[in-house]
Amino acid sequence: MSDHAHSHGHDDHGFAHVMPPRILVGVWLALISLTALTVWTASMHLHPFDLLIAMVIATIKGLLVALFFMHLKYDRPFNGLIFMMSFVFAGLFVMFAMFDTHRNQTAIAARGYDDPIKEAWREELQKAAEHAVVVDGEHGSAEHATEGNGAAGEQGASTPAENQGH
Amino acid sequence: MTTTTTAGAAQHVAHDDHGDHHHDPTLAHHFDTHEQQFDAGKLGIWIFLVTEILFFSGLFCAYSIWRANHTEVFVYAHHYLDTKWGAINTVVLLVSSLTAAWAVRSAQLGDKKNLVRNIVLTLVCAFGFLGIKSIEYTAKYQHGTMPGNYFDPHPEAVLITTDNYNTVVGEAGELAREELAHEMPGFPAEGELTDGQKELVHQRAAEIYAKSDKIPPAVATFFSIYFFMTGLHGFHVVAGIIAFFWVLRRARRGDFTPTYFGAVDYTALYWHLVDLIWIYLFPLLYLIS
Repeated sequence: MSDHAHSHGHDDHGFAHVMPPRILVGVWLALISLTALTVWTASMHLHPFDLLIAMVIATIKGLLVALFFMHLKYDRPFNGLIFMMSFVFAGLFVMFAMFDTHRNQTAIAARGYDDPIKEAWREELQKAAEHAVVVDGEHGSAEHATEGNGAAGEQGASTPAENQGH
Repeated sequence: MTTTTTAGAAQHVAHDDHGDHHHDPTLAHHFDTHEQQFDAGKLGIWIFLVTEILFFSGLFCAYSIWRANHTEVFVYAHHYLDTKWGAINTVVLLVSSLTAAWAVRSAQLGDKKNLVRNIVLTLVCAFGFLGIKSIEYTAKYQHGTMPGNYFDPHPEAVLITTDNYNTVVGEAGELAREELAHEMPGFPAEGELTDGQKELVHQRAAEIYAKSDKIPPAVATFFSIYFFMTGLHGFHVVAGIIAFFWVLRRARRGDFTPTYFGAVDYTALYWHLVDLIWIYLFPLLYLIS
């Protein structure tokens, strides 16, 4: 009835690619080890590389799952291609969404929330003011930025309007 | 129609009124070969998995934007999650992925006994995952660390941190109890409390909370993204359980043969994707520093 009973995953036995237990268990052990590794590296607080390390480990784990558990290594290349494309597009979404990260922090800080990060924003405002002097000092933006800084400290209400003026 | 891709038909020799060609009940009329049938189904499931990745990518976008703009929220709030449970659940899902992959192997070899065994093991792990998740969700509910507008932590459960939210001093409730036990002779440092003593702890915890480093203003966003990402993932685990019960029933009935095991393979592929997403969720939610 079937010639698959003795198949070891070679193509001459038909279309099914049978995973040898050795590879299944080996991949699983690697996944468990990598999980332990990511917990360990996170416990070392390797800021600012912690996120990068965690994502590299997660991607290695993801590749192991996709290539072996999901058979992509032995599957038709087209299936792998469309699966890869979804990650490319997911990456594009995240990238485009993050283009303006940190761009509006001075304006947010100027709104004057009373919170512990305000001091950090004040420093950033100061830096932005200094930057403005260097970049477009001749347009008079520097004074605006410095005013914004002062306003953020006392009452931020007028500052967003000024920022819009730029 | 004499052709059916389902079930019982696989075991019995189907009546073939046509008689003009060999008729296999596990092969649908519109396919030439089993391989063609399998490949068509497989392409379908891969396209479905693509839509799943794009579905989740919206939440990964939100996560990235919030974390980039408010790192302090994520550094502070991740202390509320228990890395131990997250790691155990990662291992539970990895075990289930192994058994799912092994189920596919058993189906390809026509090994019904091991096929059923591996599907059952996968289901056990899936329920284990949900059980651990429910322990975590219950704790969040009891502490009041819920998403969005429902974020209203009990003073006792608030985590007091120093060092720019990096180091946890302790739960306000525990700190309050230590202080009270130190000040008032007879106040129990451990064990059960009377209602009056609980009230004292509650008040002291609120005082400690008020005078310590304030928590970041938008902590609720962390719990929103946490509940949405793990909730959507948990929903997929439930869907996987339903799918595997269906595959289990068919496997018991003997539907699957070495040339007809698509349903096992496709369900396993979906299950590996659920595992794959958790592989990213675990470090992104539990391992922040």
